[in-house]
Amino acid sequence: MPENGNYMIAAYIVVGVILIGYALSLYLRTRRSLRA
Amino acid sequence: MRLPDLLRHAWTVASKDLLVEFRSRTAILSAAVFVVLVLVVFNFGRDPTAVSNVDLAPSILWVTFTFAAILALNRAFQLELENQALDGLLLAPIDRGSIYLGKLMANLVFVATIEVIGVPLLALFFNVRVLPYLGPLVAIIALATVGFVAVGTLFSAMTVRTRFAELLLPVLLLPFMIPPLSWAVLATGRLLADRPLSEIAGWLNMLAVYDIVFVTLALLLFPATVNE
Amino acid sequence: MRMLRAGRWITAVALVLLAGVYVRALAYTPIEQSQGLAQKIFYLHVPAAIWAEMAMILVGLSSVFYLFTKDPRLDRFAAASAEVGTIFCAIVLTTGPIWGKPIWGTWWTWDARLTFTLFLFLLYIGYLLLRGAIPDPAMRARYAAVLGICGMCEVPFIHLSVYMFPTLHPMPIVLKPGAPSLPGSMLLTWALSLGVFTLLYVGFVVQRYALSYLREQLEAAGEVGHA
Repeated sequence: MPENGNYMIAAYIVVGVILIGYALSLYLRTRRSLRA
Repeated sequence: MRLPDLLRHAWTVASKDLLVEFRSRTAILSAAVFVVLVLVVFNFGRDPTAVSNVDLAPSILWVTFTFAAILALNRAFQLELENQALDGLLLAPIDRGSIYLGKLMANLVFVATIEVIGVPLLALFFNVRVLPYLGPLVAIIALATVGFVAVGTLFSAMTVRTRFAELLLPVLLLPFMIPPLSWAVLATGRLLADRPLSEIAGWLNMLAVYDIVFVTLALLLFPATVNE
Repeated sequence: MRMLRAGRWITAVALVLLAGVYVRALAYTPIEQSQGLAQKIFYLHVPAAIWAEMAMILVGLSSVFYLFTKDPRLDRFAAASAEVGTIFCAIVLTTGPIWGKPIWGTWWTWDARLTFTLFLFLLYIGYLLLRGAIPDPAMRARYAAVLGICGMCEVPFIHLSVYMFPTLHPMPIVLKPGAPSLPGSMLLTWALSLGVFTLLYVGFVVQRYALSYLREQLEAAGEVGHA
């Protein structure tokens, strides 16, 4: 079996970052609009 | 509105645009110069032992044609921006569809002129045999051009009102150009490499379907771009 | 604002469940023999791809209904679905090469699915750029609807054109992912992931919709910026 676990880890991290990042972006943008 | 009227009014709109363009001739000259430029650059850039002319020819051809199309499209509705000419056009007792068809026709004539210049020049500079395949070649070129100019004319009606119109139009148009363009390049390549016509028929069909779908769609959607 | 709160809760739950899927995929799902650990990228890549495409179809459908009814809620939904679809597209376009490099040996190939996603991404970017370039809300909604409908109609043609590509380029020597012949445990992980991505889509879209609504209120009250 090929040794490619690092790629798997990289991908899972990237997806996590994107999804959490977007969730955060939505949270911050809506919070800013609520405050205004 | 009856079909003959629709077409007649469309031709009126088209001839107005073409008259303006051929009086100033700037766009057609820039497009023609670009064709020559691309042909010259590609000639210096390639290694004749590595890549044969026939392999390169379709890509060169279609790069120049798409550039000419974008050039035409960028200018398509610019004429009407000044002096609120668009309102004048809209007040005329013609169907909105006529305006779209007229613009489409004018754009097609423009791009066709470039294509009529480009094909012989390509054949000349790159020593590619074109005459035996002229019929199917014209069919491929005509169908593909209608495909992206139809969508482009619709989009240019929208982008002309935005701030970065000339940047936005190619960006919007890119994903819509790729299918007809890829089929055209593939078909042209096969054609010039002397493949049997039966191989190309499939692509011609897809181009035709694409044209029918998007010209119809554009006719249906165009009023939404000009109604207040 | 109730809708926003609902959206935030749904997203939070979805993210927690995502963590669960991560654990299940990484630790409790068998490793695929020929591809090794990298194959597990599949559990994130494919559900994201499904929703990236679904989101565009939904943009198209709501655009059609918007042109008939002029209901601004449909326009808000279209804008939301487009933004979320772009995010999912980005996920596919990043996980795709990361998966491709160890399996196919190169970061990018003109593989049908990857290329399709690239063109889908271009459609989304164009849509978002057009929306951003028009300050007037009514014109923005109308023009975005036109583009959205064209985009939805373009999707089948992009499918058609990318599936011609393999005749030009060599096929990668890999199994086709997503085949229903997945063993039970893997299929379950994939299905769970799809469920989580569905929930994420809903949570994100609801929040983004709420954001549009809030911004419209601000605009109406005379604050700067546009939705």
